[in-house]
Amino acid sequence: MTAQLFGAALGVITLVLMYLLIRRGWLKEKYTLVWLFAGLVTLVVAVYPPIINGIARALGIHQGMNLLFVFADVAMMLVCLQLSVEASTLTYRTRALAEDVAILRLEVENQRRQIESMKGATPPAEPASGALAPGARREGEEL
Amino acid sequence: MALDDDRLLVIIPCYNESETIGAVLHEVRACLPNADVLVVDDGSTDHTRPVAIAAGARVVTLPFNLGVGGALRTGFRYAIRHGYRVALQIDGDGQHDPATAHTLLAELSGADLVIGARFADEEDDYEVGLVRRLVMRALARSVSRHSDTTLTDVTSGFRAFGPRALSLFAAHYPAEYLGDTVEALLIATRHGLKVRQVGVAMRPRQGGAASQTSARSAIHVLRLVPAFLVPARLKHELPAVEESP
Repeated sequence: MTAQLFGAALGVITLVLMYLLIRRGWLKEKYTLVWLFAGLVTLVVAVYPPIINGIARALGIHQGMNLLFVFADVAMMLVCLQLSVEASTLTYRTRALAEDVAILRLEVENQRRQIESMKGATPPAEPASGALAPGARREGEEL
Repeated sequence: MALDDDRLLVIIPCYNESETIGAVLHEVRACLPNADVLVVDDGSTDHTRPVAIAAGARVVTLPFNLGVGGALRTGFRYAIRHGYRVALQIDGDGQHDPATAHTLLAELSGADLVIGARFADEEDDYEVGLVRRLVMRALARSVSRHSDTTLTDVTSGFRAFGPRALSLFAAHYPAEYLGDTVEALLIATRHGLKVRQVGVAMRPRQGGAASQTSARSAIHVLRLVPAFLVPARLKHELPAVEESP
């Protein structure tokens, strides 16, 4: 009976934790599916333990316990696999961002230098002249 | 040669090459006076960037170290954005002699990707350790089997790229060390690009330290195994790069 309570508590804790994490936006929904499933299984098994032996027998496994271990193993593996896939995607995206940031930085630097050299090229003798300024600005915008 | 009229971009991936990059840039300028030179600084922690700028190169600086493949793809994307149709990859450590670049570029008239290769003939006296030599030969054999030509040096970083190779690699270029050179060839042949090699003599690196130890190289070679076994679809489609106005 105590073990049953303990198991039920574990299942409930997992489910509540998931609920809180999702509601606060700390966890994207797609990561929670496996955990939700694990929590539900724990809960069901705790509430009605004979179900394990029933399923185990149906699958040809002698010990109900072993079925639980297999379940846990598979769940862990799926989570790890999902994380590996996510890590690959993130690595890939970070790399693409880094490459494009580097190129853009060079382009921005070049354009700033061009604009500055153009500013420097306008004769300082006519500081308030309205005739030159619009032209200079228009060229700057094109860049 | 049809490619004579195309603008050439020389891409030099660099990681902490401040000792040698100045001399390399000087040499490139002397041998290829009409080419534009792009140094891709792969997150160097030394003075590679200022030295290269002082030597008159355009320098693209990656925010952190991506590995040669990342540096190269940056170069390819830059090339496409700025309308270059031909690119030459050359190392920043001085082991490639830019004077031999012309033979690579000439070969591009009948190929999409040309490798400047060591071991192309028997007299080549480029020094590498026995293990390394065996591994390199095995890799070369494996890649050659996928290709329509015999390649002797698939890890060479001295390469010329034609327009088709540029646009393919601007979107898909593997990042891993060694992976980048070998896997890129597999990608190229799977996409029907014509790969050729010309024999070139290489010099020992002129200064600085190699970025990889042999133990790490071994790991990288192992990582290549899936690349040969699984003819993977190209993962992660990148939007095609367009020429910037």
